[in-house]
Amino acid sequence: MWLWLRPFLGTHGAMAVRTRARVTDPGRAGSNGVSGIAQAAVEPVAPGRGAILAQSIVDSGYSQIVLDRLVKQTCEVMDADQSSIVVRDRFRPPTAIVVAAHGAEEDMVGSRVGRGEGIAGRVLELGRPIAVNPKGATSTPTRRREAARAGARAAAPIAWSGRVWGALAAATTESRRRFARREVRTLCELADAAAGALAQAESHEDSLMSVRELLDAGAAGLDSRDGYTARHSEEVLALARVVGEHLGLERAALIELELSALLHDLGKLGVPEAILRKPGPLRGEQREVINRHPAQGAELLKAIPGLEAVATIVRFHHERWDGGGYPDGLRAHRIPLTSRIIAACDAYHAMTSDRPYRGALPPEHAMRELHASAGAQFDPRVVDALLQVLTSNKRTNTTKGRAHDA
Amino acid sequence: MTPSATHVFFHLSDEAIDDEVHVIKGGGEIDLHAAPEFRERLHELIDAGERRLVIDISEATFIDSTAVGVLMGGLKRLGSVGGSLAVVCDDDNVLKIFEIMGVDWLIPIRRSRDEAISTMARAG
Repeated sequence: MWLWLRPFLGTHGAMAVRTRARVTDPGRAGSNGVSGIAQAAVEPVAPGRGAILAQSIVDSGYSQIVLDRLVKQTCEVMDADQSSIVVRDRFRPPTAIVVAAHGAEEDMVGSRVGRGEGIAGRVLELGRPIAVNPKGATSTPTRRREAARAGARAAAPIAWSGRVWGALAAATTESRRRFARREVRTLCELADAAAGALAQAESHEDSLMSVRELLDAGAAGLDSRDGYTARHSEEVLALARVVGEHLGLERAALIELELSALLHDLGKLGVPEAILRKPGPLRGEQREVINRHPAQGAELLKAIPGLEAVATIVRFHHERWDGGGYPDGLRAHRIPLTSRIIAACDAYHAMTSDRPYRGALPPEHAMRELHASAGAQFDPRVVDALLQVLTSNKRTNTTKGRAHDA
Repeated sequence: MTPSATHVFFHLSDEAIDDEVHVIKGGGEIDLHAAPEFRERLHELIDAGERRLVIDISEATFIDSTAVGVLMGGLKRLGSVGGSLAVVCDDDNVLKIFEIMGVDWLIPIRRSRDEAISTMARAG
């Protein structure tokens, strides 16, 4: 996966991936144990905002709570009432441990799951995703009975180093709900993001080196190919943060918002420059290539320890409120709120910038466009917040006697 | 319960402070592999009738979200029977994890055992 990125990043970024410094002092194996080593070994060429954010993610202990964030995202994305992650207990096989849970079974964290127990236990046994839907949608009588009792459930394997080590499960108590094949595929994507986080959780290792190097190299790579994208990311970050605060996002979600705003277009490293700079609308295959960038960005990011939950936010930043977006066609509240914020801020900044295919729109015009697209392309609540932020920014700027510069 | 041989750094003990307050002390690396033992002890004590628990993790060298999940599960279980929970922790890294997960909103976290015990006393 990293091979294609190598020409853009050089060895600086590509080699850093999954390079983890082992904390040698067991007395303080916490998050800052590694930072001294990492800083000494790698001085970023140009420590920009990315490096500062990377430092803050490690200092904050965020990387240690990624599994918890992923189960919350899973509930959102799958429209599920509960979600959990189990991981094999290496020391007491073949049992597994519930390492994160959200919803009704929150107090199951730390409990042991026996061999083949529950849908997650079965996924560990079979090594493939399973969906158990009510109304006799499954093959065996036992499973039909279970399904009728519990609503729809689905689980996907979490694999790394060539073996299934865990499972991500989602369940709904609503008896009429079914998990469609497409939804199970999305669950598999989320499980894939959890793989890196679990590997890290088991090892207690930290990821400052790779996160910092990736951010610096990624920003430099984007900047060298397309100055707009790098500058755009910084500006979307600034706007998204204010909108996130306005919407009262919790601390962990704000960290995710900042990082995913900065990295949302990382997947454009895989888009040929001819398409990025094309003056005029994109058609057919060209459109398909550019539409792959959210999924490609997520692919890159989920390989970075600590950024797994950020990866899924990046994956969903081109989903539309009405379900017509890509890559998963999620609708409304199933799109993580953080992704919805980035979508609106991204669009506003793009509209008010000069692009190869059109000139910049005046801020008032862009704000009208946002308003008109609320409820179709964008979350109306996010658009409200963004418009309020933009209006108050404009007021502040006018008060200060400066021209409004979107 | 004996500490798991595979977790040389993780250890768990508990003691009654008085008729009301009970302390569970967890040291070393409280990670996902230590979580089942931690959870089991916590739930055993609650099921045995303890209602005021102080979880002392001041000697923990590592804590992850699984361990925090066990604490939150214990809080839920205690809450359902009218009990309360306080945590002793003075490691700034761990305190940051509590803050970022919003745990400090739900569970009183104190830097010393005495402070945590007096929080329990005031609560009743």
